[in-house]
Amino acid sequence: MSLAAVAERTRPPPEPPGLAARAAAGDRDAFTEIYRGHVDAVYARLTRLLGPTADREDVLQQVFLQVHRSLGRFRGEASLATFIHRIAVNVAIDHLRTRHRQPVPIDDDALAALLGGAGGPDTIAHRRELTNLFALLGDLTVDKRVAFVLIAIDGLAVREAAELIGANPDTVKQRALAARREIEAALAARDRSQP
Amino acid sequence: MTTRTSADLDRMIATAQTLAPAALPAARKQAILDAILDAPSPPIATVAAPVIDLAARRARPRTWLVGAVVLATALAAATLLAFALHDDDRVSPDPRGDGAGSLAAGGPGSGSADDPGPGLSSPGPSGGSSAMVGTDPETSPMVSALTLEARQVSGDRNILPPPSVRDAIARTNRSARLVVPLKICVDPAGVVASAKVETTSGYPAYDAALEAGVRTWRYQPLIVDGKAMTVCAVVQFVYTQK
Repeated sequence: MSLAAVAERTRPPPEPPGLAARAAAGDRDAFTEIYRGHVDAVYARLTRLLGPTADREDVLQQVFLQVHRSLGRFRGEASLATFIHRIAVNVAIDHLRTRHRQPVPIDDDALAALLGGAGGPDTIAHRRELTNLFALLGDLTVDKRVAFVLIAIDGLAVREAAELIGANPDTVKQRALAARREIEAALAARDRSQP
Repeated sequence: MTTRTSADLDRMIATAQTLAPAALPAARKQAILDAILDAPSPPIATVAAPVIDLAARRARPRTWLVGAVVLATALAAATLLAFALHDDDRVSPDPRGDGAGSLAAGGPGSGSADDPGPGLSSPGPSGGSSAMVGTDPETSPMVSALTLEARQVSGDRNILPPPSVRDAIARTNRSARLVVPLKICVDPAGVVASAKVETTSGYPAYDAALEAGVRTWRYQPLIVDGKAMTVCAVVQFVYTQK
């Protein structure tokens, strides 16, 4: 799957005009429509940012609670999807920072479910690769981890990732490159330690 | 080696890109939606970015800098004094290594008379520094609310007014928006050492609830030059009731 395809997969269709304003004014149906239109993409993004851990649902709820409370500030300068994903990324960053000292173990069942339950040797190999990847991501600083996931895994352009994070594009690019170097160094060290 | 690890990493990334996006069960999605929509109504009580008074912000570092210079001078003097006293203590019992030392010249009584000196000087600098280095909320550096927020490890940020206040607002039959700036100082252990409402909400019970709620928050200590510092920030609570 190409990087562009991954980015496209997370991009929901545009909302009807005025939907955010109606939701901000307390229209439950409007908020429900927004939630249903974005929940899968946000959940997928959180999965890639946090890993297949059991705390994703709590974070998802926190994201949409914050969206619910923040819609009054949405001015339509960016798309509603960008507004929501910006909140999602920032809630995920906060969450990663608070759990940084106490990493949450990867949920094996969730990992199997995410891989589609196709069975066979490929799934086992993929599961091992994902477990390794998220363990390596866990050793990065939160800023580097998020930049790397958004650019390398989600396939966003540097500018798009920077917009979601709320940081300078050059800074985000450097973080992603540094993350890649650190992961490769960790893989090389692991190879050296294995006979 | 590098090529191989790059290939390993690319393979891991490719696998991560296959993660299915819609793995959350429909019932769980609905439960989350219900929880959000049924959150206490009115549901808005958030910590917003502080309104920063730039003039005050410029003044504060200068005050802090002067304090730091005075502090550094005091610390240096205290440390020198401690070393001097400590040296006396170490040399005087046995300067020649023969067991006689200067105690012999001073007589038996001088040893006991000298003991309290070094003993007392030791807690001086260390006790003094821990009391002075960035632990006073009045002189502690100000940081942005977002800086503190990023280091928060526990504590409910959704502090609602008590029912009596909500009822009182409801009785006015008008929507209300309470904006309450609150100055908090976090000590080197990450505990909220002080919390004070800067502008009252008009409801003392809500002010008290905010101060009490904020005091339960815990943070990762803010490290400056390898040393945990007390830092302060103004967080702003916005509560709306329609």
